[in-house]
Amino acid sequence: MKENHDWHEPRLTPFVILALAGVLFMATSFDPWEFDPWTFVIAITATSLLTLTVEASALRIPLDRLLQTRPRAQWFGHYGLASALGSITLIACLEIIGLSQQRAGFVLVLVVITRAANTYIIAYGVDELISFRRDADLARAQLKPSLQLITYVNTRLDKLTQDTYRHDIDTINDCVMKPLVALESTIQHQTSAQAAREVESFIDDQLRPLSQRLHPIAVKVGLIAALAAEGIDVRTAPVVREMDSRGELLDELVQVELFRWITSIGATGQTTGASPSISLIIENRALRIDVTTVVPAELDARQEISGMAVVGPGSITAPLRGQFIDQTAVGRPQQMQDSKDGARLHITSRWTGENDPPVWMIALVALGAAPAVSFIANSFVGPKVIVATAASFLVPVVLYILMQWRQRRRRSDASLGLMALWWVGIGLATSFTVVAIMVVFGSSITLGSFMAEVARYLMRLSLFGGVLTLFGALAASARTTVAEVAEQREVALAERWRTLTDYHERARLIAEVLHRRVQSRLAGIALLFHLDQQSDALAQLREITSELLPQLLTALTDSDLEHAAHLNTVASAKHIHIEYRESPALNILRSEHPRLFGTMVDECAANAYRHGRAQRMRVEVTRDGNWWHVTCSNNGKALDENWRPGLGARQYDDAVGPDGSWSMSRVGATTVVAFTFRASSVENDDQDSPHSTNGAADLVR
Amino acid sequence: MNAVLDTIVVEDEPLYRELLCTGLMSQLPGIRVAAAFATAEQLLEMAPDLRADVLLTDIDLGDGEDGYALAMRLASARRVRGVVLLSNFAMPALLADAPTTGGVGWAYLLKTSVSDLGQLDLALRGAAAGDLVVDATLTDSLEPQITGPLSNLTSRQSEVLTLMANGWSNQHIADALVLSVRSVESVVSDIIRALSINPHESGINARVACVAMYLRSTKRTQPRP
Repeated sequence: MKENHDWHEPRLTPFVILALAGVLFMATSFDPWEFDPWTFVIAITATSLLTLTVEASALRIPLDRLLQTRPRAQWFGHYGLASALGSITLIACLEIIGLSQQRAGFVLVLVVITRAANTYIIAYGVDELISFRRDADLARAQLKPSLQLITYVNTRLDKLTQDTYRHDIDTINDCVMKPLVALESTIQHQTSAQAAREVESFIDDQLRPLSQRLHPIAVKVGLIAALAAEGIDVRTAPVVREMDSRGELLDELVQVELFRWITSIGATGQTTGASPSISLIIENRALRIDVTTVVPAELDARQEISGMAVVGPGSITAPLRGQFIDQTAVGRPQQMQDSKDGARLHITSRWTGENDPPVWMIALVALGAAPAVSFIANSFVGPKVIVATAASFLVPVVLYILMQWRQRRRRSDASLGLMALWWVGIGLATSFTVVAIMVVFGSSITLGSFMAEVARYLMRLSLFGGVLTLFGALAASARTTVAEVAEQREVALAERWRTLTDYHERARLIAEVLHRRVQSRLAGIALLFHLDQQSDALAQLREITSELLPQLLTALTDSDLEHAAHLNTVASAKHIHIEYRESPALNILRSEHPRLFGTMVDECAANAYRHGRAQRMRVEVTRDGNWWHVTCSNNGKALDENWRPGLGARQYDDAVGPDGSWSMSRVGATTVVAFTFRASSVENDDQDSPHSTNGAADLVR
Repeated sequence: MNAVLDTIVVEDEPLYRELLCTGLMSQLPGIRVAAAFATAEQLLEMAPDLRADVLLTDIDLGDGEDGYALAMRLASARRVRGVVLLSNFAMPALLADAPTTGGVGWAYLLKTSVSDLGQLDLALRGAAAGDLVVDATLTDSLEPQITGPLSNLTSRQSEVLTLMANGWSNQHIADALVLSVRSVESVVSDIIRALSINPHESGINARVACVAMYLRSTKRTQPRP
């Protein structure tokens, strides 16, 4: 059976309790004989004090070498030794002062044994109380406030994050969507050169700073380079620069938050006209950032959670890569002491049985009670005494095992009242059994002596056993509370990290869609204008304003990150499962014209994924004399009714050559792109063309 | 007549890649696109042995390896002798720490600047020649740090250094500033001395070292929005 008891360092408390009980016992049970009352009281008190002194000294005897470092062995060894030496001292003192009252030798042995048993019983109970107090203190003084702080910070973080989400959506709408719609309208009436300049100005002046501000994805290539791009000087050692450029300086999350903090200083500097001076130093597994010239901003909830901490005026630290410690999870909040938030510490009134005293401990309790069968001063031990003693030992142990067995079978926690009743029952059953045995063996039992026996067993068995079980239940309850609060704390921390990583993921997606899908596309649109391809440029711009950005805004409003991530994907063949229908023609085309075949399949797959969100594509190749037929069928959604061939379609035109053709159609639930071309017309191109572009190209515009 | 430069293009935005390869670079005499790829991984998988004169790559290539890391990889393997980094972001300081050992040249261009074919040509040829070349749009918004080594330069020297950073040859600078080539050479020598660069040190290209120091010792003046 699993033992949940914590074996604490031996202490004097059990011996103090025993000494008090001993004085009480001697005062009420001993016959003072020729002593006057005061001398008797002084004698038994002095005896107990001397015994206690010996026991206290014995506890200091180092048993480490003998018992190694096992706490359980140390516990038994120290208490046993101290009790034995104490008992010998007690008996010797009583003999010297004449209070031994000529008891038999075996009675003296019983004294030693029962004192040891009582010591262990009390020490065990004290241990359980210590465990209870320790765990209750841990929950009340550390875990609960920590949980409250985490919950409090999480609430702040949630609010900050929700505000940021709303702000981001407004920003994209006001700073990208609306200006782009206006730009689209303006450039319709401009020359290509003017339109190109307008688009480039929009990228340079608005979109680039915005996408970098929403999420500084530029820090991917290094914090220092990103700061330099913001016009902020950083003084640091070459080794720090090197680590930064290799991505080994900070975790990404910390890097982004630190960048936000430093750039907020830069913004302050621009407002006040001062130029911030920043130095980075590696110190104690952290990056120390010292700011001079301007007053740095305070850390916000996200920055604190990311492990950044203020260490002095104008100085903060950020954990180096892999060295993050959540400071807010270990702090003790001053303002939270009376908060009603977070977990409450409550000691349950249920008895789980988890910390029940072991059977051998109850056997000790029974052993301690056994000599009370009215023979303590009797030098004769007959069968009646042996049988009664055995019964007084066995009955409580058996009933206790039965009680535990019942508790395990029920699988639900019993009340402490029921447990108390069990112990009363054990005491009564034992006392009745013992009295019955004595009656059977011919002893005459008066009502008074019967009541005395019952009272004795209720005191020695029911009370001791019940107290041990109660203390165990308290210890188990405190332990459970600690575990529950610790678990809630872990859940709250995990929730915090989920919020934080969701925020960063979302911010990254927004910035990347703006940067990669909008800004890069706009740069391409500017090129189209430069190349006088105005209608293609306007069609591309319309796709951004009427498809991409509205979809992004909808995805962000609905918190549909998966959709936002899809928008961020530059489609390629790797996103779709491609099946090839094996045929001799397929093998020949694949081996003789790999680049041509690869381009066709790659482009088809990319378009099927991008425009139809297809998951599978099937490729078939047939040959009819000099003519090749390649069919790519995918399970993507139906084509938009308004689709028309766009710029990317030219790649298909180039691929099939002047004699060939290609078509796109919908057959049932399948979209089919069919190519027909003559081998001779593409042969030269495929072999000679040095720049057949791979990857994704748009087909549907 | 300039030699033909084979160029590998890596750009994840299909439209931009297409226009760059077919619309712009085809107009540059002596520049040939050897291959074009959407991602670093695609290049490494599909053309593991491909060599060229210049790698022209976007820095942000999506979720995989970024363009700067790809450039470092190809440059250290001697698979290219010049790298042109394209970006939507203004981060030319990246070049200051780029390894130039083995004569590898580096250039940094904004994506909105490639429509200026002269600038694109300068970047490609400058990178192939082992120089450091920075987009003129970017150098226009850079100013020397107050306490940096550039604070010792005269305005003429600063002007010449900026043009050097843009990839201009001495002849080109002389034409633009209406000076003799000899005068420009003299200014360049003064710059090298003022920046305490030892032109005779082994493995040092004094011109490249000057531009690297220029990039390290300047900061952007453009106000943040």
